[in-house]
Amino acid sequence: MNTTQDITPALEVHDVTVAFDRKPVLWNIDLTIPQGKLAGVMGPNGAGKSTLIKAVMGLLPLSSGFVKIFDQPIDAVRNRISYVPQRESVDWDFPASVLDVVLMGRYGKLGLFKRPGKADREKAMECLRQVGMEAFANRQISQLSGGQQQRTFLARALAQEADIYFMDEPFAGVDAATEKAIIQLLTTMTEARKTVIVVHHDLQSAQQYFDWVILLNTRLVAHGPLETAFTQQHLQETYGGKLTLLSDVGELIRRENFPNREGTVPKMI
Amino acid sequence: MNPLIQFFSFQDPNIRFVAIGAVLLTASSAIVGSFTFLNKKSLIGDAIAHAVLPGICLGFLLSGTKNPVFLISGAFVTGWLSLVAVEFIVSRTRIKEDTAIGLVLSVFFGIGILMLTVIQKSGNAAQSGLDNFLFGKAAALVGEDLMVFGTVAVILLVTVYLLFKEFTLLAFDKDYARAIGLPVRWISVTLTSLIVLAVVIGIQAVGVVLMAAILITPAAAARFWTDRIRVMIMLACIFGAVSGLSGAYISFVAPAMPTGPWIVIVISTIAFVSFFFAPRRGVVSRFIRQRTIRRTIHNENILKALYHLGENDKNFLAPRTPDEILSKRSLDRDHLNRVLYRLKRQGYVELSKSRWQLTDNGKTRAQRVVKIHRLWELYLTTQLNIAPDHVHDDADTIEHLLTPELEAELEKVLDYPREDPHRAEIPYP
Amino acid sequence: MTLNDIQIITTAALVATSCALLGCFLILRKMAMVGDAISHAVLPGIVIAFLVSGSRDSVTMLGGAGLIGILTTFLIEFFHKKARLQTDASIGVTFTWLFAVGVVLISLFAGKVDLDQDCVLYGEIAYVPLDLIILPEGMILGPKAIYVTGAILAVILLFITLGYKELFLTTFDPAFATALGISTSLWHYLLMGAVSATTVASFESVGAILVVALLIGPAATAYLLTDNFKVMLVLAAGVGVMASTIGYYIAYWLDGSIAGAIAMVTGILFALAVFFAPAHGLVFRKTRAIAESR
Repeated sequence: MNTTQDITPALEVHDVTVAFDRKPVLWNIDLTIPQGKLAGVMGPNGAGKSTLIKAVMGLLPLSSGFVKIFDQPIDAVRNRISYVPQRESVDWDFPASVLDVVLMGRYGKLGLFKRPGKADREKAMECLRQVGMEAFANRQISQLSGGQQQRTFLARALAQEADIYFMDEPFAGVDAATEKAIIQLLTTMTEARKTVIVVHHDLQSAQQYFDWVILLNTRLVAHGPLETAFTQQHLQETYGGKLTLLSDVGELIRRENFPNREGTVPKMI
Repeated sequence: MNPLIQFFSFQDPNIRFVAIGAVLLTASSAIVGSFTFLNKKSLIGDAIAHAVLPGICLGFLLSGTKNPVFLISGAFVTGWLSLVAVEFIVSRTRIKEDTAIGLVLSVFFGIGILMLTVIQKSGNAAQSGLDNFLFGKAAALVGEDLMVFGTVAVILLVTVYLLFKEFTLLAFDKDYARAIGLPVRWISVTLTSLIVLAVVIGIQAVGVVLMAAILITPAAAARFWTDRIRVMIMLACIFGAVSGLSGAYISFVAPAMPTGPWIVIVISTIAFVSFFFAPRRGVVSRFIRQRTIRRTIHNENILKALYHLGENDKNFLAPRTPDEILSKRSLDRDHLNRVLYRLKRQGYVELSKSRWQLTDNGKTRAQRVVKIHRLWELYLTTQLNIAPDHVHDDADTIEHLLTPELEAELEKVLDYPREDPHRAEIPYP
Repeated sequence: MTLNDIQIITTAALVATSCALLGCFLILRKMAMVGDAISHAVLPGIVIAFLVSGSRDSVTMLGGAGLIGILTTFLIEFFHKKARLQTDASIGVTFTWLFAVGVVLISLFAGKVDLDQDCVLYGEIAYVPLDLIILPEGMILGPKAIYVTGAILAVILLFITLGYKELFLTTFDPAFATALGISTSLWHYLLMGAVSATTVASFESVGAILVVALLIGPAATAYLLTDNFKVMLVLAAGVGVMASTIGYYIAYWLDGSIAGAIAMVTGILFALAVFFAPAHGLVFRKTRAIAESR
């Protein structure tokens, strides 16, 4: 029995600005996500949703601010974080089997020079069972359908046995049955107090799937529980169109090679 | 006579021919190579260059002589073949383009080397000098050879001139070209043929192994000096010509040396100088611009500090001590002095009795910076819902950057407000 | 088959195996042309190391020249990231310049450097049996080239075995690797270092061009023959050895360059795979398509 539940936020983003190709694409993002939520990150194309996830994961440098996961810098808690990238980010012609890919999720735990052992293999198979892909363990990934590819990635993430999961467009190009199955799995995970943060593109389903919502359009429009953040007004502001002035200024910063923050003049352009 | 003078006076007809030949070859390669550069297909040029070797050998084997017409034809055939092979591999198998290029390049070249060594060992007297095609020998460009190669170069240049618009449009926006009804396929084929042709004649001066450099490097160098295609191609042509001339000179001064490597060293040096020192795009130029930006930032920050002091006691032009300034903006004392003296030189502040005060120019400039800062803070808080305590750093940067046009737009979007999020007044001139 | 034949083929096979293994990673990372660039760019390093150390026997030559290979990677990256030159041109400008410098150095110091400018292209593998290691006691250990290429192969095998999963992951999904905390740049430079070392060790025997053919050809062929990466590594090595053997005999028959012949055979084997590979070959894809449409 747990009377004092850990209330550390799963994710804390503080005053984060991220530049892509020297142009700021996210301005001063401030948000927190509590543990155990199924959070959806949404916004129009080019809003910076993927950029936010990548910046949080440390894949892109921050021009300002900081990110904390379970109140610690990301490098200290990498073994508690799991990442499911976009399907296009990988070449599916690669000579690997489904099991090979899922085992990659165990690499973080293994460290240098060690090989995946029997226990790792069993864990990988168990994760494949959870996503309904155990029959495909030895199938070559080049022969998978879109939904199967996504489930493989998900199994890999599960194999990491993490506490917080970041997923970039996991439902893109996936059949309805797979989508249902994935959402079921994610909900079960959050019931076990895992935190799942999903970049999502479909407003209709968002209302059914998520209990926490983040609306982005180059800056944070709204964030919080579904009921308060996912309002008509907020949606209008998110999808209502580009902020031309902001865009122009960003373009100016890129062209003039201006430092994004005074202190952080880029070392060698 | 000093060899340098002897060469560049061009009195000897032989020297003239070699020089003209080398320049024609390298210049035409540079021009054609500019299009591969724009299409981001530079390494294909490398593949073609290596692939012509078996064709040259084939031409020799079939004709029994080093007749340039046969050699060029053979080279043209295998050059084209290599491209077809790359295309085929990429479209019909899961092999990716870079692998296909590397594979075709090395295999064709290997076949060429095999043929070359067989020919060399066969004892056929006519084959001597065939291996000049490996690294180039500009001095071999005499007499009839020069006529043939020279003619091909001129054909190349004329064709590029005639189809210039089409080539540039294709490089810039292929879909648009297709949409407006240009015969994209035929134009591509023509361009490819020109590239193969340029390679075929260029290798006489530069050799097979380094031919790619004459296609790629002049264009890469030229790119750093301009954003306009015509100028870029002209520059590439000039750079190529200079390197060709140097090659001819080397051939004259040291006949045993291969000319190819020297041509490449010259053009690469031109390229490195361009990469570093070209205005705007050069590494050094950008570094200097960054320094200028940093200076501007520091200058304006001190002006702002003086302005803020003025806001406190409603006297903008009052003289201030350095300590007072440091209370508004913390800075190293020496650095502060440097900035203040710089501002004095530029006429934004005056010094009297160890105190500094804003001039009218200084006040105007400072006011603008402060205004933009506060407007931007307002923009971030009202339009972007950013917390008021997070907007200061952002505004601290933007205030130095905004152009007058964007400033006007900012005012309009916010509807000419009077106060910023921290209730400070927004100063209008 | 004489002792000479065996020694030459063995040397070629050792080189082929090292190259094939590394090549599998290179082609999957889409870095085939960077491999090509490195194999050209080590030339000035080799010449300078030779001039400095005075002989070809020192380990320092391998080390110094190998460093040039890593320098090449840095240069390419510098031109691309800092000077903002497009990738293909960054590669092209860098390796042509370095190779040109190397050739010029050879021409200038022709007397002092035991290298011939044509031979840097295709090596002198025929002379392998002549360059023997002879111990002070008079015992002949065999051709130096076999020991050098054998040692490099051993190092490569160790590298791939120890770092297998890191190399595998950073090749397949660099973003995921970073997310796990694995340094993609570290493994990138280690791999390029291995390519440099292999190139330098093989330069004398097989020359620059053949190294490229052996880096890319067998790996590409194996890629068409299997969907399992471990199998691909083994197949690539096998194809490399096969090309070495067949190529040697063709060169013998035609009395031409051995390196050139081996390169040609890698091409032929690749072409065979393109058409006749069981799963991905064009002939079988077509007959399967016809069968399925019935």
